[in-house]
Amino acid sequence: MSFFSRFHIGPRAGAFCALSAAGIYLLSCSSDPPNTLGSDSDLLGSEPGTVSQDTIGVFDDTTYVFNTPIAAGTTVETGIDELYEHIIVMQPGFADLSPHPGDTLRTVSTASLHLGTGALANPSFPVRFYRLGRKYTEGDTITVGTLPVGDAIPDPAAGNTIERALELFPPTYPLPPSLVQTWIRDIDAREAIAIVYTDTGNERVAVIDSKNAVGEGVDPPYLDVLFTDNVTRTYEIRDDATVYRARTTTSNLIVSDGVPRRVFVRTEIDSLAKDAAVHNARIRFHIVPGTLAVPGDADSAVSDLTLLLYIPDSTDPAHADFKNGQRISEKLLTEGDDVVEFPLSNALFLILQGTLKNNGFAIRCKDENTQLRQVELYGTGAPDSLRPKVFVTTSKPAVFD
Amino acid sequence: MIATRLAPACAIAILILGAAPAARADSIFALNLLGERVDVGDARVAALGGFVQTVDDSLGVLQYNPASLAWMKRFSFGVAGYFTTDKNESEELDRRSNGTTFTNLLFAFPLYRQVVTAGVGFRGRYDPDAEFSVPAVTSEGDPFNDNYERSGGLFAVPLTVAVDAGNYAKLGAFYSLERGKLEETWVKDFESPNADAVSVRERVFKGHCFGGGFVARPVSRLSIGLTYESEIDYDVDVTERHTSSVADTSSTEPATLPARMTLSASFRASRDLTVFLGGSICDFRDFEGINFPSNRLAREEVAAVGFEYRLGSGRVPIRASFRYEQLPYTIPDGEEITKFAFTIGSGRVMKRGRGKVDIALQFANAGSVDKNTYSDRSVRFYLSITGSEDWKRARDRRE
Repeated sequence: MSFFSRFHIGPRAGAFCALSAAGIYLLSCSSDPPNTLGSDSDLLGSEPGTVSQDTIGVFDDTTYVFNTPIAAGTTVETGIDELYEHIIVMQPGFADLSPHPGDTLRTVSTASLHLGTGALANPSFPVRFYRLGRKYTEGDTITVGTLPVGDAIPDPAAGNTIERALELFPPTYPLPPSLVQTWIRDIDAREAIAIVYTDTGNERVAVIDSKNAVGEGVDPPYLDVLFTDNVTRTYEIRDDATVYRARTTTSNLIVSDGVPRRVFVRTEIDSLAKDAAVHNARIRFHIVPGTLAVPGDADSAVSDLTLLLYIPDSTDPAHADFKNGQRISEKLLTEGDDVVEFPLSNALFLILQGTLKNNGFAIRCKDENTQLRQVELYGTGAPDSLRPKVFVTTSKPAVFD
Repeated sequence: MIATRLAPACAIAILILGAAPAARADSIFALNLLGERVDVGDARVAALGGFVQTVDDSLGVLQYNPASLAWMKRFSFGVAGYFTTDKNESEELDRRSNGTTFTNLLFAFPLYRQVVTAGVGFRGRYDPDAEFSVPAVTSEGDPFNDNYERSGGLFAVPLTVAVDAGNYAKLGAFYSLERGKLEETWVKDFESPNADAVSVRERVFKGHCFGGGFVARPVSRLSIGLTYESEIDYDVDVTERHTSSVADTSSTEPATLPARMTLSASFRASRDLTVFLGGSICDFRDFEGINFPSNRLAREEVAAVGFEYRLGSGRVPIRASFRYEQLPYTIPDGEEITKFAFTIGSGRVMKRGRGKVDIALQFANAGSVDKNTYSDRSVRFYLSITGSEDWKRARDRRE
């Protein structure tokens, strides 16, 4: 019998030995909760890309003004407040001449402008009517610095004085018959009227219904004409708007509506690697304290303002494409905010990829040309801590050896 | 009709093993392409020391040595896989993961009388799926994780022919199509709403391998086996994709896996006890092609000793083995990595000897935290099912 043949282990003993060995081994393996593993990139043949956090400066920060008055409102305003002069612009229309072509052969006896001042909050509101010197169609830009350019329109019912006042009654304001006669007979002479508040030492604003006002109790403006043959006609106000003229100047950047002003900045994106992934990017502007405002109308004053950041299609603000572009993000400002930050992670990444143009960034009010509002932001002329900056977190691609 | 009876069990095993999700992190030492070239699937061979062993077995269709196919005198098939629970350790890591891997499927059939046998199959080279996460913070203190994931694997379809030259020599040769895909992903994982960044490298390997082996029995109690695998020249299509697409690249590179030699012997010490010895050498210092740092390469050495003892009148086999490996790379600065495995197993032959089920349980430890900074401790359960059918008899029945 060989050495090995002398061994004989029973099945139960064998199974017991095997199970005991397994039990001892398993017990020696704790089942601690998982943790993380440090990488040995040499062995992996690859390593993760490095992460960088950078602060990028901006340059060429500018405020651009677009002289487009608010024309879509149901009211128009004249007066002044702390920040703006409000001027009503009205363009008479003569659509009623079509069914009455003979009116052009008639002679105007009297004419007046009907305004919805019957419920004026502050009657005896001193104004002058001016010839605007040009026609106005809603959407037109009006260079407020030169407004008005035409002569004052005298009041023929008050000895042709140019001083008038908006009153509760009668809400009609006489116009020289010869002026209206010219409008009726000469289509090229139909220039708009500007209603300008004259008591500049007294900050107040008169609000009247615009041609857009609809519903019960509203009183939109129109032109009332009596011809010498006792025929009366009313002619509509085709277009009207409130033009706002800023009364203050600032060295800060300013985003506003009423006087639409947009901020445009360029960023030093070239300092970022083209192959970088952008994990986070945001552009931060510091708000000039106390400048978040909706002036002039206390009743409709709001404490917030939504700004919209976009990449303009053109870097030339004079070009129409500047007004359009890729919307990036919007931000609601509320009273007390110190800074406004716009996320632009994806936009910055797509710029690096070449998908979006590196045309800088522009900020405008959301729903522009609808409501008087503004906010001032510190620009590059401010102390370093207040200057606009882009904060960006990027990473390089992983390196596969 | 043992094969018929085994078919449902075989199908269930395939479903279980094949449908299971890919194993995650079988070993942190499998994070790279190197090493662990083949884990033999057959549970009997695994219990006796692994692929370095050659076993006389008329149902051993899943063996590594191609000459072993000469024992298959009937149409034979085998399927094998294993379940692994794996614990990775380092100073920063204490993690356990589980995975199921389908490793082998092979069909063998006699080509010419009782002399020539052919086989075709599938062999999973190894399962390198792995993942880990490294926490970090930016210069301004924002936390993020560098998450690494690796998936894919290398697979082979071996076509084998074996010749039975009698008790003194059995010869085999194979040609295998080698395919595989390895995908590595680095994810910079930031907390929301910050964006993540992803870098992916995908490597598609295509190559082929030749090899051969023989088993000789110079005396009745002693068998000696030798296996040789040629080097594998891969064409590797490398594609890198990044979050920033301007950094994307694509190229084709070569890679060469060095040749491997395996030597084995078995000695029947008594009617009930057989002792197995085996070893292999593969010099991975000749490895080329995937930019693995050459100063980290080493020679892979494997040695194993096992025995099989048949218990009682039922002759229930009890198998046990011990295996030593030196992995083909070093960590962290030239320190060699050793792996020790202790395996036990058993099996059950079906009636009439036309099928069998083998199981094995392996306890292994690779590396050490003190020496290599990493260690890997695993428990692996092997299951293999093999069966055979006599084609001639089946034909007779049809006639």
